[in-house]
Amino acid sequence: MPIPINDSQENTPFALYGLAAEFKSPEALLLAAKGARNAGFTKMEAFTPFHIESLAGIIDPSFSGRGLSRTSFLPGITLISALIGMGTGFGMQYYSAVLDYPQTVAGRPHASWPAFIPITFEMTILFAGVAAVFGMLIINGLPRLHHPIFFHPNYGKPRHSQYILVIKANDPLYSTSAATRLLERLAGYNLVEVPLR
Amino acid sequence: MKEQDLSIISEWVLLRKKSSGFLGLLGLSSLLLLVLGLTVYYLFTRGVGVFGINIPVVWGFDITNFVWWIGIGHAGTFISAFLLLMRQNWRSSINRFAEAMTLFAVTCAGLFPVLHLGRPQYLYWLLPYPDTMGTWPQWRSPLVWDVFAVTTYFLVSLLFWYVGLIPDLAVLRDQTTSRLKQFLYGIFALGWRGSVRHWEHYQVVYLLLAGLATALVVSVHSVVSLDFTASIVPGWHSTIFPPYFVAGAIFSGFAMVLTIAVPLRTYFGFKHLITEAHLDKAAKLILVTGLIVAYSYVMEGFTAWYSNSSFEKFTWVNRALGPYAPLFWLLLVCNVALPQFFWSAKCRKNGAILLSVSLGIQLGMWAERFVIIVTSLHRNVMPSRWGMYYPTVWDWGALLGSIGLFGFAFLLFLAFIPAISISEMRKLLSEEKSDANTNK
Repeated sequence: MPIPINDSQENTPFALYGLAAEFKSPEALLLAAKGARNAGFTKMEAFTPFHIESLAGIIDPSFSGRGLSRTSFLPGITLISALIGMGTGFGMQYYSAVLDYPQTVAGRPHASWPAFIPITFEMTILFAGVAAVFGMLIINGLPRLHHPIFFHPNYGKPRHSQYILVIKANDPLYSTSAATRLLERLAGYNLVEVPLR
Repeated sequence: MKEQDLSIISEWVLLRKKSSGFLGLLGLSSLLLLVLGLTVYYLFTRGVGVFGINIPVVWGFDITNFVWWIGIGHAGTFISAFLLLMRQNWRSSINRFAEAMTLFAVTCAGLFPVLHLGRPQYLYWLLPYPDTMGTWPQWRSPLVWDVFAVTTYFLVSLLFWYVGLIPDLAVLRDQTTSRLKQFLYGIFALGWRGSVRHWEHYQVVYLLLAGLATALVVSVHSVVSLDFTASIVPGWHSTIFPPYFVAGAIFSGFAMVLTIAVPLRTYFGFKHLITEAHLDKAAKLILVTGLIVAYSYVMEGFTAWYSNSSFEKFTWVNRALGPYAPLFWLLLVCNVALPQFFWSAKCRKNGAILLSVSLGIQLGMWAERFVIIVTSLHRNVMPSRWGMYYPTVWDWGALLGSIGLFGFAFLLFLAFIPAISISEMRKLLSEEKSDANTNK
């Protein structure tokens, strides 16, 4: 259950996920994330209703590269799976039509590769698509049906801001009072300590 | 567009009592679904002889329906994938239901080759699997290519649709107060919480899927057209078929998008989300693809004449003047004449005209596939092999039944799943807001 902030109580008795603040707009959230990073906080998380350009690079510098392939392994995973699909598709047809069960029809070649292209193409797309989606789920650690942010009383509720920044309790600089001062200075409101479980 | 307009999407699913019109449509489509069930039962117990097909017309309504349905699906993929890559932001309000349309249309399409098999219990012979007979599918046959093309199309469309749906299912999970709905939406939302790291990978996978699905937009109907072109039947053996089929597919698909969008706008209160601008753009796309289709009709006639093959020439003349001529002229009226209304901006904004033209186009595209299939087969090269095809009640049952299946699935989709992407619309809204702020 969410606990209102008590400034006098530095060491909270329950395990803490972090301190969450709401923001009015994506721009305010971006500014706040920058401010928190400049203040030296490294372990942060933000929750937004849609993808916000360049926010991830501030929250987690490993996302700060340019272009798709710098920020994610997914294009690589998809390409490799596409090639595997291509090889599987073509190999399956070649093996069955040339090696395993060759049939001569009107003297035509067994390895009639142009006729194998449509299935090779479809298998390429199929493998790539399936790998891209499951790759995304695995990298994101989904499905994970529960998460501490769901303890936040306003999370996902209509008529509340959906732009939430969390400074995590496992940040080396974290203390509730320091995080509170910072987030309030950065125009955050409805500050809530989110318990870990 | 305002915040309040957006909340109607989730409210429609979670709170609104469904209107009697909605329930009436659901009842009608369930009845048609029963007709499909009865037809399939009768067909499977008696064999394909219950259809009107015969020698020489071995493909009738069943393959016509297959090509028709799979064509309808293409607009959904075109909207969700191709327009995303082209950064056409207006697609956000129509892509969700267009993708659902694709999914259900491909389901209906996939049904017909199976119904048509004769021995549907041996369906799995089309798939490569290690069987005790040591045989394999015939890889050089376009019919086997079709199995792979349609299966891939269905699976990739399903993944694309589901990935787009995950954030919206999470919204429904967080907004509903019903324990059961929280549980069910929660399971399917996979615990999505809008974490910024997740969004980053999500964005990448969505773009990748769009790229892959774009390849499918042009390839699936091309493979379907190869079912015809790879044969030497006059009227089928033509290199123009793949692009002609793809244009026809997008043409009929956008007609279906309008058939769905106009009532959604008028009766479901999505007026602020699906605007006149959307209808206008869909109508323009119909006009463009309609012109490509019209050009293909002209080229069919030209090639028949220019080939100097008496069989090709006869097939074309027989289409225009033979026993199935009324359907040929019907398709010209529906597919060539009707879309010309869309040159006028007034017609592109008038719901009644949009709806009637798009229904006319779907009728026309169905007639086109029927004419291509049946007229080419019924008077083939040998006059001793001439014959006629007349549909039986079971042919009609399968056609109407598949429309019932589509309607039933689509109405359930409307009842339980947000018909417009909430997260994409929120993003559009916030971008509009920040644009307005910077312009001040």
